[in-house]
Amino acid sequence: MNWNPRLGLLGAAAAVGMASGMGGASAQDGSFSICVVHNNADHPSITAIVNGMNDEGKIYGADITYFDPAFDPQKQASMVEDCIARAPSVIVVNAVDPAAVVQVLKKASDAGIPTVMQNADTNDEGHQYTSTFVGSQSYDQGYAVGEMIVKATDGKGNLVMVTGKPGQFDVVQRAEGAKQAFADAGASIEVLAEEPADWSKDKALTVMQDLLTRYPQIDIVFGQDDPMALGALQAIKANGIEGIKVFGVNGNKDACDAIKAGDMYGTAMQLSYMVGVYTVRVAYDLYQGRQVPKQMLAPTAPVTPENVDVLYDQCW
Amino acid sequence: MSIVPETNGGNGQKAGLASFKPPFASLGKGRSGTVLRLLRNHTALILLVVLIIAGGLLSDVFLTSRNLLNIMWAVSILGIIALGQTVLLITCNFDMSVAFVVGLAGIVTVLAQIAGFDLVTSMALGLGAGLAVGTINGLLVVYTGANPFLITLGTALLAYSISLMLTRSQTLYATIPEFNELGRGRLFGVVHYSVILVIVLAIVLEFVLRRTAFGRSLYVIGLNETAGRMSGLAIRRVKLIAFALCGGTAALAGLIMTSRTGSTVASAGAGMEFDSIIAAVLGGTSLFGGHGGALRTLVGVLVLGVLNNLLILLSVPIEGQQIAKGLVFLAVVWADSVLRHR
Repeated sequence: MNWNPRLGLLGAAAAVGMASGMGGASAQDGSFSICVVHNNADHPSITAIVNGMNDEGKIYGADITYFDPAFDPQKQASMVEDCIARAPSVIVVNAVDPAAVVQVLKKASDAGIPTVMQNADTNDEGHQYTSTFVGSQSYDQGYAVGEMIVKATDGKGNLVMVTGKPGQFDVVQRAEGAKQAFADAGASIEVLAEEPADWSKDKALTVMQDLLTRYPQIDIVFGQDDPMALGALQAIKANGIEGIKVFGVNGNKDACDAIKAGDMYGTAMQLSYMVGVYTVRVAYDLYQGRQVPKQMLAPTAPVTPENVDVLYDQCW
Repeated sequence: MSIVPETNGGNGQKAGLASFKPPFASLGKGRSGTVLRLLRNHTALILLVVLIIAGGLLSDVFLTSRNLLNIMWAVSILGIIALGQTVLLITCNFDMSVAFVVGLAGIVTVLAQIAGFDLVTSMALGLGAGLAVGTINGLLVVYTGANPFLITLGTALLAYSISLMLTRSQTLYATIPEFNELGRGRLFGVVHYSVILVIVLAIVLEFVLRRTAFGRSLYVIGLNETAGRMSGLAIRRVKLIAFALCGGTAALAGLIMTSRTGSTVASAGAGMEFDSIIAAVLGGTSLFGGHGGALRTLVGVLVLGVLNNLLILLSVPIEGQQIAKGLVFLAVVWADSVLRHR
């Protein structure tokens, strides 16, 4: 198993980080409540986070409410304001856009409510208002996939990338992470194209078909999430082509099944359930007025044909 | 025939805002009129031919049978939705809920399979869900007289919420393997079933539109609803059927998409409500009602499909792709308002 050295281990992060001055519990009625604003609730990874939060929340007696702005940064900002109005103990935000949330994070800070960034962090300016970041960073996921690709292909080959909605944070970061991994390994992997499929499995199918027509020699496909990777796989199968190595991100059950069956060669598993669990734990620490680390990075587990049997139970 | 453009709106009105005409609106009288009429009636076909020729010249893999069949497979889903949307557009109505009916129908079908129903029953339930949403749309529009655009946006959110509740944002997988044949299977191993379905559906709808009383009543309602009522048409019933049909075709498309990708997603059809309208208008269906046809819509859908295909085959950068699609949309709307409304 190859843990990405760039990921901070929990211990290292705890040793380095100290909280910003966001200590105290601030719920008016003294009970532990969390207000969560997703980036987009309609995705299995978010469902896993919610499950993690709900399960852990039961242990702490947390009252958790969720808001979903469906990738709209303006809606997210107004939902955070709604959260502030509800005066919860802690606010959790999964930023659609790192810069767009800064204003409302400041408002939360002014209102004395600690905020936790979940999975998608804010920028440096926003960090002065937040207490911590919990999650996996999309750059690290991209890097993990990049490393897997280099290993599986000896650093050689033609690659096409099927990406999410153009301009989105995860899209840019996963691409950069993968390319940096290629550079760090001195690999001669040529990125032929990066085409958007908007996180849609069906769109990935049609996009991949056209890519297969355009480039007669494709060796590697990097789908920026598992549904798109699997959609691309459908296109490859429908055209009866063999020998292309497909990689994804997420760690979905059907991606793990595909790796077992030899159809896919790897996925960067996001331990989304654990992200939810850690979020509730750090929220409770904040509620109790304790100091918390600046970052709590959930590890990204690269799932490969070699280790899929070991990691299979954690695929979601 | 005079070739001097009229400047008074044709009714002797005074010049001013009332007689404002969009650019080139005064073309089309006289000899130049015949050419323009030809252009107007067959805009999509001409555009398609131009794109195909350009594609063949600029890319050496475009005109292969594999690529062309792929394009048709890729757009078959949108085509089915656009056909239903065309029927509605002819009556001067819209259905903005098709995108989420696509997701809902797929989810209902898969849930039915998971619950133990057989293949045919599960598909019937999925189609039924779409027909139900379409009927609700129709009832709301007909009996409240409210704007169909807004009503169907409302039912869209309703369908989406139901989808999310049913799936709890999990991905669901079909349990009957034969179901996958619908979206992935090919006749004689060459042409996908979904392509054949959309072509057959288009031919059937074209027949209904041109040769049946029901079809003709759609056009009358779109052109002049009052006249239709005066001549005794059952306006409400016709509109209801049109809305239900649109929901049904969206459901069929949802079934095909679910079978093609193998799993359900509540937002699987996102964006298709606009794409289906664009395709229909591109094909010659008017946003103002009263004009349009099933085969024409197919041409419009093919134009979009060829465009998407070429943008990738020619490695057009992503920003360029968005601009190209925006321009096509604007050109289509301009052409519809100018060439049709003089």
